[in-house]
Amino acid sequence: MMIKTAQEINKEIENIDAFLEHLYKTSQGGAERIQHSFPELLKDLSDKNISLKDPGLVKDYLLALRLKLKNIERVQISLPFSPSTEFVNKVMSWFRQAFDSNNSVQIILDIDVKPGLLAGMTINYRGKYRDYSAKTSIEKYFGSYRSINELLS
Amino acid sequence: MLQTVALSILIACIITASFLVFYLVVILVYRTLQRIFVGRRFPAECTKEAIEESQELVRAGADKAQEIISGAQLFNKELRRDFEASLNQIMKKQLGSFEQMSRQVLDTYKKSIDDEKRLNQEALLSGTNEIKEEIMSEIKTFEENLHKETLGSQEMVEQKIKQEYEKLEQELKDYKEQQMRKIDNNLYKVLANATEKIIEEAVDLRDKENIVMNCLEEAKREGMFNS
Repeated sequence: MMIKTAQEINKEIENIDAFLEHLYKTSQGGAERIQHSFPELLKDLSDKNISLKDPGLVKDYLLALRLKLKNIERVQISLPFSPSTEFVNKVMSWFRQAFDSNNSVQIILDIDVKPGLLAGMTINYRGKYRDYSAKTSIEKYFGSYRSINELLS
Repeated sequence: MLQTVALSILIACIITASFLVFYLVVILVYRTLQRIFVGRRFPAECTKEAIEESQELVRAGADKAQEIISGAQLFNKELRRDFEASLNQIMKKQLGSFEQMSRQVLDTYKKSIDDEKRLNQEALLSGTNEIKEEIMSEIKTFEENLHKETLGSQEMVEQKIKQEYEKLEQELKDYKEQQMRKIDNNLYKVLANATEKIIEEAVDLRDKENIVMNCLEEAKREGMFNS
């Protein structure tokens, strides 16, 4: 299973875009910059036996990779607090365990912060949405009563 | 002797003529009275007029008989005196009969007038009663109609008041509910805000992280990640 955060994926896409930008700028020191700035991509290209001497092929590969990264399914999670790296890793670990039986699954964990939720979270995956926030729970609780008298009785 | 027989025959003729004249007079009187009664003239006046006319006719008849008798040259004085006495006696008798008959006619007429008067009075009384009953009936009908109209108007006014009252009551109820809803909403907001503040302060970061992990487990249980 491949699981990454949305920030990681966005960083990869930015790298690909930057790599492609320097791919044809060999006369302006582009090759040197690529060598220094994108070691992971170079390793990936090397693993695929794609040479930098064939920029057209490199470009096709990177564009395909970019498209693939953009199309990975996302699990959108809203939290009432800004998560620490440790907590994000904990969540990713949980997802790995949750999807352990299916190694072909690739997901992006897209976390954003909404303090108004108070506690709990909201989650959206493949069009399914759940709201486990304390805010909504409180509203539902008070909304279930037709009047204050009913609430107090 | 022959002379005496002739005289007797003459006297018999005269008497017969006198009776005929009297008979005619009676018929004339009867017709006159009948005409008067049929005309329904005032009774006293009618009766007086009838009597006067009858007497006139009788006198005329007597004069005519006297004239006839005077004209007979064959009467001697004695015979003539006897005849005149007989004639006067007959006249008196006839006049008496006529007077009695007139009185009877007058009585009959009076009686019929009285009967008619009584009938008229009864009819008038009956008509008065009928008119009275009719008027009373109309008054009663009018009273009933007036009563109905009054009741109808009263019911209409009551109905209108009732409708207005119900309308106002409903408006008041709606307004009250609206205000109560506003108050309740405000109270909800206060309570929700208070609850949020309490949660914010009471729940630390570690608890929040644990809650998130619990939420993920719940989502998994609910089949959120099933393909």
